[in-house]
Amino acid sequence: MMEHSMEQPTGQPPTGAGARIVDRGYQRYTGVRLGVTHNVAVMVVAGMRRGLGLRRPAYAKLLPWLFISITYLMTLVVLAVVVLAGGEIAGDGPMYLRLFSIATIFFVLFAGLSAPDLLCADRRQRVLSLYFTAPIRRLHYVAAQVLAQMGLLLLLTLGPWLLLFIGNTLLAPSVWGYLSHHSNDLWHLVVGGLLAALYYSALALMTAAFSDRRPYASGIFLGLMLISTVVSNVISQGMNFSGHEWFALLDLANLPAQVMNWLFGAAIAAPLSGGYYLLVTLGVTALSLGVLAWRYLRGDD
Amino acid sequence: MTSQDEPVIQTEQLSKRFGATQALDHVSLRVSAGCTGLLGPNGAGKSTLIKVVLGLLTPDEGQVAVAGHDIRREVLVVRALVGYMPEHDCLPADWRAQDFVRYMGELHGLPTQVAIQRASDTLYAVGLGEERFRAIGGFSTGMKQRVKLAQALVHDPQMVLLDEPTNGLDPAGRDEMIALIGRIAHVMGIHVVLSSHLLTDVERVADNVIILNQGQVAAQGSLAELTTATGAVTIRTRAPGEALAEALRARGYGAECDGYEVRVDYRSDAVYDAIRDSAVETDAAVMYLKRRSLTLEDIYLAGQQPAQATHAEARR
Repeated sequence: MMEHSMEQPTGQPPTGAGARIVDRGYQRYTGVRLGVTHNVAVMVVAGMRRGLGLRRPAYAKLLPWLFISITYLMTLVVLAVVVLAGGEIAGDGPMYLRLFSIATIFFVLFAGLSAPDLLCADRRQRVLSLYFTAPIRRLHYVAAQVLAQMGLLLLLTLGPWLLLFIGNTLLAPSVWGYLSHHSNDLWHLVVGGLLAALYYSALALMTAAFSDRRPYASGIFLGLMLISTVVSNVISQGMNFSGHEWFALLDLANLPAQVMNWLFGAAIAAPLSGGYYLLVTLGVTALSLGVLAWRYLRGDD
Repeated sequence: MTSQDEPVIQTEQLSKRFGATQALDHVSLRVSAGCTGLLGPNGAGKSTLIKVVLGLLTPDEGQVAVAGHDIRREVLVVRALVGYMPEHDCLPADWRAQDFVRYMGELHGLPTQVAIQRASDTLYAVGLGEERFRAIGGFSTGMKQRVKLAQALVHDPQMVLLDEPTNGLDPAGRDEMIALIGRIAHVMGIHVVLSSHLLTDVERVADNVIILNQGQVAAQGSLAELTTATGAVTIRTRAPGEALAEALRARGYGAECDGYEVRVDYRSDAVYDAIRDSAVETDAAVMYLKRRSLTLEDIYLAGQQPAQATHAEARR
């Protein structure tokens, strides 16, 4: 703990008389201590780093960055087509919807992969017993994990579409003309992207909150998505009893895509409407967040 | 910082029940400045007490104040003042020690640059120099204990709660950890509550002791007071000492005779006058007389068996 340093700077080489020995060691701290907002922000940043595999072994980086790369690559391919098409292709709204619908599989996979990374290790390694002795409450921890997961998912649910919008704008024959015709697209993309990020975050974190093991937590979430999609499609499209169409609302994996369809004005088969999809999406999100909070407020970890 | 007279922790009639188990039963105690040993067998209520002090458990009744702050109303303030080193494994294996300690510092409100600097300094202080850039998963038990200690210290708490800090350490590691705890309390000026079942560890560094048994305070006070204010005087006589013991008992002292040896309770120096008078009265020739202070082990065992405490003292 003994640190040797020299008097600095004099412009002259240090002499023996100017040298001193500094015992830095453990020092008392009298400076500023930041509040809960800072502490939550610290957890959010740490969670996002963890989800992206930063400062972790290479295998932890592989899948997150693969999914992120694929979604951005899709965007770049579309932009390349726009360039080849001479600056604008017909029907930007449907283009966003098609891409969003295709990318949904990556939203689901990414959420299923990263949410357990945020929660399971903390419980399995019993680090929570340390975190909860810091000046935070349990709900601060939960909020931070939700925000971190949302931040990660926004890289997929919002980033590529904003890039696509900006690319379309810049590549259009008239930038101002494009903006004036497509200004609604922007807020549709922002609202749809935020909603999708919140929805998948809540659902994935809720399922991850009930297992200490990452593979199990991922499996539970992905299984839930798969089963709900299969059941929903089999009943709503393959059966013919009265009200079978309503089972489309059980397709948990595709609810945000349906809300995006509604935002962009795409047709939705009767008797359903976009409002129903929005309500179910918000309901599932609220329920998931409630269960997640309850799980951590129980205080048995 | 709290003054020397102000209690670091004070509880009044603190109770906590888990189902049929009364973990804490109207516990009133006062943790003073310096290093305090918290002793007791498994299930005595030590961990429950620590969790209540940290605000992790809500007491059923009673009051807890840490550095004058009520734990119910100011739990976040209290947590900012306290560092905690749990007994169990609680470190993320794939984090570097430096990153984790820095993170804990930030989580306690330190700005990032300060947390980075203090993480380095604290890890140096606990004896982890260059190793701090390695993943914790590859550390030995002793190194992990040091990381746990560093994360408890990084935000410069007023007090640290150390739960069995020498668990799993070899004798050399134990010595180093105890020396380190002594330095924290007596050089760094951070109050320490050392929960342990190893009496020798506590005896080496603690200024004060609190002994819990079945959720109740069995004994508390400064180690010096507890071990010197009580004890026994051993007398050896030329002839069997039953008459001498009887005379001492008649004067109100607990006395026990074992052949030529008489053991009499020490409560104050007045016992020496009683021994002199009793020896004269019974015509006993005193060949040897020595006062024996209680050890921490004596106090601990007496705390575990209150009914036998007087008997144990008297046998000395």
